[in-house]
Amino acid sequence: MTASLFKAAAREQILARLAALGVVLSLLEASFPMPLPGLKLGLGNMATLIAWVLLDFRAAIWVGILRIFASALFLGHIFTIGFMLSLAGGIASLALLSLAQILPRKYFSLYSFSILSALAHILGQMFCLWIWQFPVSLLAWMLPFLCLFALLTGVINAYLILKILGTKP
Amino acid sequence: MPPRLSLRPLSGDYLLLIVLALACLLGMVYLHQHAAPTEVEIRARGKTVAILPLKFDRQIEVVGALGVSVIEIKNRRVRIAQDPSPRQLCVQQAWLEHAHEAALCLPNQISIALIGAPQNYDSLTF
Repeated sequence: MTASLFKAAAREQILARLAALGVVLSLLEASFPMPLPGLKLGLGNMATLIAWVLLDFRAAIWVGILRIFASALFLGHIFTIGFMLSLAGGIASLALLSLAQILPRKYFSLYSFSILSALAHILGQMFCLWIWQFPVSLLAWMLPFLCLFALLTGVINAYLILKILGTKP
Repeated sequence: MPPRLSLRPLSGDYLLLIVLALACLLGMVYLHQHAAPTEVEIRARGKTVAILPLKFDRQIEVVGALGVSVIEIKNRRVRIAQDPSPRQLCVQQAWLEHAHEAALCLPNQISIALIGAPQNYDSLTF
């Protein structure tokens, strides 16, 4: 019993550390000036994916949601529109990742999951803006550019994660 | 099952990336072909109040949450000439002339966006 208790504690500890990492990355990212309001590097998402790799998908969901709330507290924008967008993006990306579990691991590595996650994040935000009756023409105009950028950040983030985890080629 | 870690992307990764990138590029091309603005959509307090052609120069007044905004159409361009919003961000955006450009006066809940006219007919020939 004691052993399992310690094991659980170890898991929670890793989870909490990853969430903290996600918060730090989100704060770091918030300090980068971006040319368009929708453009984001998605650094915080790295913590979510690392949680999936090191623990399991449940842990990824925890880290993904926790870091959004915690970083919003630090940034002081909790429950504002920006926060709602980031929450919508986070939920969308977790949802797509859970659907993407069916992809055969033989052909699809972390790169695919990172790309899908980044793409779902921006699509979730766009959906949220669409619900709020943001001018559709503007959204449609921005969407392909934002998606292309998401593909790019997806690849870069996957590469960074692999480097952080010390993956051998 | 956690994702596989491989520093070199696998074949599926390349496939996914190429397919998604192509979809984005096609989206861009499609949107550019439908991009010549012919009308301006004016929205106030969440509703579309007018869709006006850019052909005719005119000024209209729209009532928003804070007060009256003046929207001016001139030489196929449109701008928000006056607005009661405190920071005047939408007024400072000045003239909009390209398709899908938009100006938002959030405090006054008014927005203008350039749109292409809906094409009701593929061709009209007899």
